[in-house]
Amino acid sequence: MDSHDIEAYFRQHRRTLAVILLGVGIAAVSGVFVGIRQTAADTKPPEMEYPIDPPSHATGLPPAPKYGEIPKTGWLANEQWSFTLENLPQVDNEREPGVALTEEELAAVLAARAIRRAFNGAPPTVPHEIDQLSSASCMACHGPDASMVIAGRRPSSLSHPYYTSCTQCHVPADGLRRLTDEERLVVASAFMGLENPGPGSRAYPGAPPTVPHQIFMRQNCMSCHGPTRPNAIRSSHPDRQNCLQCHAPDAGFDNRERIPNHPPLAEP
Amino acid sequence: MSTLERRTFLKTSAMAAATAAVSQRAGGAAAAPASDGIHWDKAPCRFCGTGCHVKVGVRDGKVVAIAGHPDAEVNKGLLCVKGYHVGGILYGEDRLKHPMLRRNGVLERISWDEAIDIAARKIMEAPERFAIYGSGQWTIPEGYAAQKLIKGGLSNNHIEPNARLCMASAVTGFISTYGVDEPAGCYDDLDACDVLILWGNNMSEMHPVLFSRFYDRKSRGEKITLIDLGTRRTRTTEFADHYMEFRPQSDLAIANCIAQQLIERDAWDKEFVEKHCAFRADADLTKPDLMGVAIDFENYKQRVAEYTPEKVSEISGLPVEQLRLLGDLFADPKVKITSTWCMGMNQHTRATAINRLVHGIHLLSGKFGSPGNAPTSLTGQPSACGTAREVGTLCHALPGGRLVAKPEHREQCEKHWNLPAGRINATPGHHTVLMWEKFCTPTAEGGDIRTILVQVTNPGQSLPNLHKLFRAKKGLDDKFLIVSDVYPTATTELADLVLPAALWVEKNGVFGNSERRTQQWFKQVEPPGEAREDVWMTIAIARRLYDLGHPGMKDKDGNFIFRFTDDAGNEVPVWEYDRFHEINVDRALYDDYRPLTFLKHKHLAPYDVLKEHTGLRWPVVEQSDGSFRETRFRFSEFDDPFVKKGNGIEFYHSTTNDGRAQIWFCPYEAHPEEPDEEFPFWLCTGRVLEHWHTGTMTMRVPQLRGAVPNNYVEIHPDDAREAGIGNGDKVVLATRRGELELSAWINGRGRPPRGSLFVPFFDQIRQINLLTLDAHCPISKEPDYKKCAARIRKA
Repeated sequence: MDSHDIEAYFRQHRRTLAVILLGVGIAAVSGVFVGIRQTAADTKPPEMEYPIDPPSHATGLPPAPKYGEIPKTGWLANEQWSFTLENLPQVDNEREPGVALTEEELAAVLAARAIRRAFNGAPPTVPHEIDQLSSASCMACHGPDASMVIAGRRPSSLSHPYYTSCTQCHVPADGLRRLTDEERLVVASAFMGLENPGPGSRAYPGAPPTVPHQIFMRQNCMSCHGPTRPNAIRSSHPDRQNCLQCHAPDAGFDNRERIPNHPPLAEP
Repeated sequence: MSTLERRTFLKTSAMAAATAAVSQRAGGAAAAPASDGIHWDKAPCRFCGTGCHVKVGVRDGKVVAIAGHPDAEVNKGLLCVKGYHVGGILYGEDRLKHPMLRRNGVLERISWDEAIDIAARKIMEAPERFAIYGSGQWTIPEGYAAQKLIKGGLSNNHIEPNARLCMASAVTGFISTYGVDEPAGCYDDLDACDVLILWGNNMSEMHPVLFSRFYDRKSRGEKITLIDLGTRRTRTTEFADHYMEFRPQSDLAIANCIAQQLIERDAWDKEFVEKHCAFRADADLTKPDLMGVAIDFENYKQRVAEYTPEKVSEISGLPVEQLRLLGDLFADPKVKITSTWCMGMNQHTRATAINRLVHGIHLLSGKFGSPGNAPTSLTGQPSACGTAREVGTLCHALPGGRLVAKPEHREQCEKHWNLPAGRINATPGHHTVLMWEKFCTPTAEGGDIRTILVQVTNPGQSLPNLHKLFRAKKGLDDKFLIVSDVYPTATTELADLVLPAALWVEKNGVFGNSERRTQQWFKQVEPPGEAREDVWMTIAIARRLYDLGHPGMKDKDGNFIFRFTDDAGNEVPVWEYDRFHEINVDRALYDDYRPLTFLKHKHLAPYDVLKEHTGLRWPVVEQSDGSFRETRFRFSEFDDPFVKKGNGIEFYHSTTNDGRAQIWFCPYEAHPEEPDEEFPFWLCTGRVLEHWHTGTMTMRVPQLRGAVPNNYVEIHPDDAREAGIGNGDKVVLATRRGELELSAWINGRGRPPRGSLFVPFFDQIRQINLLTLDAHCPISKEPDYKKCAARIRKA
């Protein structure tokens, strides 16, 4: 069949082809529209009636994460959870430069410190829940060698020689938690404890300051003044081992001079 | 250094100093050290009987700091949390500052003159129906003045200390064993012993400094063994090498089992017993008395024979192996054993018996009289020994270990006080439980106590069975309650007259601790408002009685019985408060009391020697060179100067007058209120580390209150589950005497076994003593706060 034949064929069946094309076109176009309409109808959630005032807690809740996002989500309560103390991040004991605090920061640091003590020199209360029975659990975090970081903080370490029974002197600040009864005896106290003495005195600018507190029960200077200890009172030269070589204690704080006390009257 | 160099150096230093001064003034920050302006002085701690010495820092008339006294032999610089916060007890904002009289049900402020007059007139109306109720917190001079007023002045023996509720049984134990009160050993034993046995004694909470003194030896590498004989797990248990959990009351059987094993194994110390001991038992078990009758060794052996480990295991619940371990330790002559106890043995319906038995096993095994070998009772109050026991502020006692029933003892006191013969009444007064029972009984029904003066204690919370022994006073219009205290308490709630008192370092004082150590301190701050010294109140009331014409307020020569003179010999009217401080009345009373201590060889140190020390242990004996020497180990020749040379050990106040101590046999007997179907639990009460006694002082220290703000009931998890009780749930606890709503603490600080409950007694709002039992030891009259039957349900 040559081109004549083809033209002749289309001429001959023009009417029929037009009807077929029209039919296909209508089907395709309507198919597109039907398809679009059906997709929209399938993904739309069922109609819901929302309350006019949504419950207040709903606004404070974070959106639920997708499963795949969970490991990367930042708000998880247990994000820093570790089952063994060894796995906790450790403090880098490398000497780091101290950062000078602003006056406000310093005041905040000292206020936080004072709130745990009845007076300067009193054993601090415990700001967290404790194991009521075992002192060993205290030492896991507060021992002299412990240097882990928990929730961004390094636990304080013993400032005094090791005594076995920690809770003899250090009691929880909020000891009974949920066992605390609403009706209970609460009396205000007018006790004004000895305040933080501030920096020690210097004979002249650049002279080593004297120790502005008692030494007894604070024999371990590094507990508060060592590297990586919270700012404010950190030593700039922790590598010097013999602190009292340069920093003289103040007899007034050790209150030695006014109290008569003679040796025992029975020979040992 | 050459002259020139030296001059230059001086100039340079001067310049440097000047520069420093200028820079300080300019900068303003580098102020003078804050130690300036603080005055430090010594005082014994106000709380328990351990007798730690603290240093008190005072600035501008207020206590601002406390430190452990590093030179004090008792605590060596260490304190417990109460000790560090003892300064805070002075400054609760509800301190009582003015005398108050109840009019139409309301306490109204009155003057001191009125208050003293009212008190004296009430006494004057019926002196024989007046009683004084004090405590082991009385200072020695306070107790001595009260003692002299009532026994020497009013010829009345109704004086008791709350120590009756606390260590009366230790006294009867010591007296019936050694013939004289108070421990022979001392705290030095804790430094020397190989084994420490705690008989129902939660030492890490109740005597924490002593506990550390012993237990810290372990962290220094010493080999020591701690045995915790208890009825519930406590903080002490966590440190113990052996925890022996026995059924309440079966301590009697356990002690007998140790004796049985010593004899059966032929391991008792024959030489020690043959030379220094005798055997004794109650003549009639239904009517036990203090002295009993002598028995021979064969009789003793027969009676203890039934307490085999197998049988005692059934009674006590201890495994046979643990009982054998105790037997092994006492049988080993090389092991040094110290036993300590406190309320667990003393608050017991068979308290005298268990005290005797523990002394007995130490004597039988020869574990006595050398450092590290001692049976030592601990006291819970700072001067239970010093005032209650030594001054004898008990209804049957006179100062220095004397008894009102003994004519020669009365005569000695009358002579010493320059009183006419026969002034002191020969009949003992009412013991504590009876005194309060009589006070709470209508006069028409035989309630023969009408007026009580309460000093330095809080019976409205600390007596057992409070409905019966305290609250029943309400509505009895002819009964009059005078209360001297520092804060409003459960006792002042029913008081008719309230006297505001000076507290601790607001007054001079002398205390005596558990190891025979007498401790002195001076007043360091002023009391608040119109608060005044208890000793002044006693003297002022006596003087008012004198003015009202009570004949007993005069001595043989017509002088006032509290006559004090200054250095020039002129009488000082110390009952006038503005003249009270002209002389040291404490010292005058102490000096008057001291010679009375010589009879039983309890020689106290002179006041001037005491004030130079952090306490001294009696007998403090003058040496040939005029110096004084204290005694650590009583009855032992190497240390006690009253033991005859060559005797080794000598019990020179023996009840049998032959230098021997008594080894008692006392049987195991069931408790009068054992749990039953209706009340299936044992209820035990006690203290916690942070609070002391009824909490009136410690609840006013924010740090201590924060640690334990209220009481609770400890319960075993299985018992809780069966009763549907969850941790922190409100429960109703009931005994035959009352009920109380509390929170339940499961797996808390203390962990009672199944069938046992524990409640601390410091809480003023939820008073557990409304539920406790007033049944008491027939000999010591001390009630049992440690055991009664209870039931519990979810509220």
